Amino acid sequence: MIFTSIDAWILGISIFAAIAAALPGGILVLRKNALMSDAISHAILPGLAIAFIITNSRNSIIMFIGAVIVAVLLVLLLEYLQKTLRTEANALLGILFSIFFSIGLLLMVQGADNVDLDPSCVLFGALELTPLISISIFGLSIPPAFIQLFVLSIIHLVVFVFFKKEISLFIFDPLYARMQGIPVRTIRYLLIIDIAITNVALFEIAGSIITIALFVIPAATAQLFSKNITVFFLVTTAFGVTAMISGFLISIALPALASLPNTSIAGGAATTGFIILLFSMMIKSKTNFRKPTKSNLPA
Amino acid sequence: MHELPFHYNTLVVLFGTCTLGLSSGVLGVFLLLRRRSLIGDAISHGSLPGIALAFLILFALGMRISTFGLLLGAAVTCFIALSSLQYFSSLKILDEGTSIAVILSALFGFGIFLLTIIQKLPTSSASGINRFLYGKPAAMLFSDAIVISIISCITLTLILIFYRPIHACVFDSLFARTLGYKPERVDILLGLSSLLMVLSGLQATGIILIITFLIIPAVSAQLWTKQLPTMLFLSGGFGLCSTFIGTMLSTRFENAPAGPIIVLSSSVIFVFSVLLGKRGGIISTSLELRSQKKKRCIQQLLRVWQTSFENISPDEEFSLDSLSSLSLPHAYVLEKTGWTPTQLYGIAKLLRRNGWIEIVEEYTLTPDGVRAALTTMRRHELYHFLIRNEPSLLHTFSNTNNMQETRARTQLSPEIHSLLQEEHPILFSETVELLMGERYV
Repeated sequence: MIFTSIDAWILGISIFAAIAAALPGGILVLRKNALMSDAISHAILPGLAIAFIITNSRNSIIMFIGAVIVAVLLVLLLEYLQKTLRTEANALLGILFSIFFSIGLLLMVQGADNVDLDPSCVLFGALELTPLISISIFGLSIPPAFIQLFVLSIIHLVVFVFFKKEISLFIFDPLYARMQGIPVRTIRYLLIIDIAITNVALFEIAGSIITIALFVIPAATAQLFSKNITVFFLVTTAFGVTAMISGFLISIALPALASLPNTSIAGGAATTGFIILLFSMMIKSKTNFRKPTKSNLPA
Repeated sequence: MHELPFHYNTLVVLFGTCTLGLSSGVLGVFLLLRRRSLIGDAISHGSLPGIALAFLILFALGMRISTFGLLLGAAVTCFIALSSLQYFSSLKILDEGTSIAVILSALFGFGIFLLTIIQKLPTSSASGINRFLYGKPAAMLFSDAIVISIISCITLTLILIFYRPIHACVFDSLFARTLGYKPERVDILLGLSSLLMVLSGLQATGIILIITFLIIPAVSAQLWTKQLPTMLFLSGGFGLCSTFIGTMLSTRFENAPAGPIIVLSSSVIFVFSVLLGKRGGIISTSLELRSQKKKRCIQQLLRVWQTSFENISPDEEFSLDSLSSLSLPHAYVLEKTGWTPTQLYGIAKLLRRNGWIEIVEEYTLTPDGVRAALTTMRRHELYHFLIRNEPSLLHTFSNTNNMQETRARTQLSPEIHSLLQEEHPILFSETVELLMGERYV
């Protein structure tokens, strides 16, 4: 095959997608709250649809705002209902996100008469098509998806470097964090907002459901191998990038060798990520039952 | 074609989806109580790669793309989803939520991977798959509807046959184990039944929204009752009604995807239950809180007589006459209770309506009111006595306002009983009378 500049952009976008998803996904998995990414990625649909209907364009900023508003609304509603109804949290989460998703889908069908935002792109996402649109910055033509994910990755990196202590306290001991004067509630809402923003950025390349895979699968794999929070996020990023590159290989490079049409990269990445996770779990479950040696016996 | 509301085909489809709604409502209750409501989500998303693979195989073999073949493929991968969920939870490395999220997104991703290949195939029948994504009950055939209702009936019968073990495991799996039931087997049974439900519902609501069949009726029913049989009936009924209305509406709006319409029509029931539900609905909870507060205020007002009596003549023996002759001025009561005048007015009006006090310039107790005040007083003393002598009861008291309920829950030890009898003979006799079900405030 010939490695074109479009392929380079696709690869770049997918790598930065994995990096951008690592921080929020890792926090969610460590807090045993992974279903929140499921809920938010379903629930932001009405926000996107309304933003689209109002502005009648795919202007990203409005869409980000719409998604953030809907995500915060979902979480507020969830917290209120959980407190008053006292039913199981997961069931409520399921109900709320399916209602939000249904409203979003109907709105999208309503607004889709003259539109390039059709319901099937909600589920699919098209990473292969993103480099086709580009805007020029400093004389370079760069796809907007790349810019979004690049900026998000940088922000996440900076936030992690500067607030590492706060983040790890927030994850492992929120009660102690509150005693230390760390605004746990604010961090939680910032996390929700961040997930919503990252979700919108990933929406275009992965669609509404594979986004969950990008958030959760690398972090779930890394969780098996790391005991240190910095290592954990590094390993998460590494697994994410590996999954993305192998997804790229099996969905673009491999079919191109056999001169077949390419398929969904994000879907391929989810698949390879899952396979990596399965193997890691098998290895881990074997090593867990290893006989105690002198070094790992309790003192 | 659809001028009549009950076209023959519509009728058949309605029958199919309604039996589906009924039995998934019943199954949903057990999943909810076992806290595994979202396994349906993992299973349903797992069906996509199966459908796509079956399509590819049928296409490669040059056979007709039949619904049955696609559903068979879906069954295989749904089963893979279910068993990997079981495998993950048996390893205990990942928590349930994470494993559900991982499995649903990974299998769905693989499905999209295959589906993108299918869309680029030189065939026009790929649109047959789209109805599995968003649902299209109107496209169901007579045979599909029959198959759906048979599967639903089988699931319902299975659940009813194994009602006792499921019931035991759902509420207390450890206890169920002592009875000789196997909670793992019950989990497998519930998982397989939800698999069947998901498979039969795929054409109605589509992969993404089918989970609402399993959750919404169950959660709504839980807001009305805490009795399991009633909950099952209600949940089944809710499921039936919502699928009926949803299917009818979706045949009216041919252009819109059916899944969202069915979800929204069942969410009407959900919203209604959240607001009005008798057990934990928002409005009924706030009403209950208000009535409890009212009860407390009434007791507080009645106790004003006791405290003022003790203040006026601390040595005198307590009697009915002395209480009824005690009239309290308005300002005094206000000061003692610490309420605003409007609050006092409201509570006093309640008491007057009960015939417990008379308000002429000052507040005076009627004979009925004296009895009520005495009861309140005795109850107060009893609380204090019991808490002094058996501090472990404090927790029980603080969790309930109802004396009878407390009595039913706590068996007083014989020592306390005799102590009470010795130290406070009046209190004891009145307590017994009180606890034996005399009406009190």
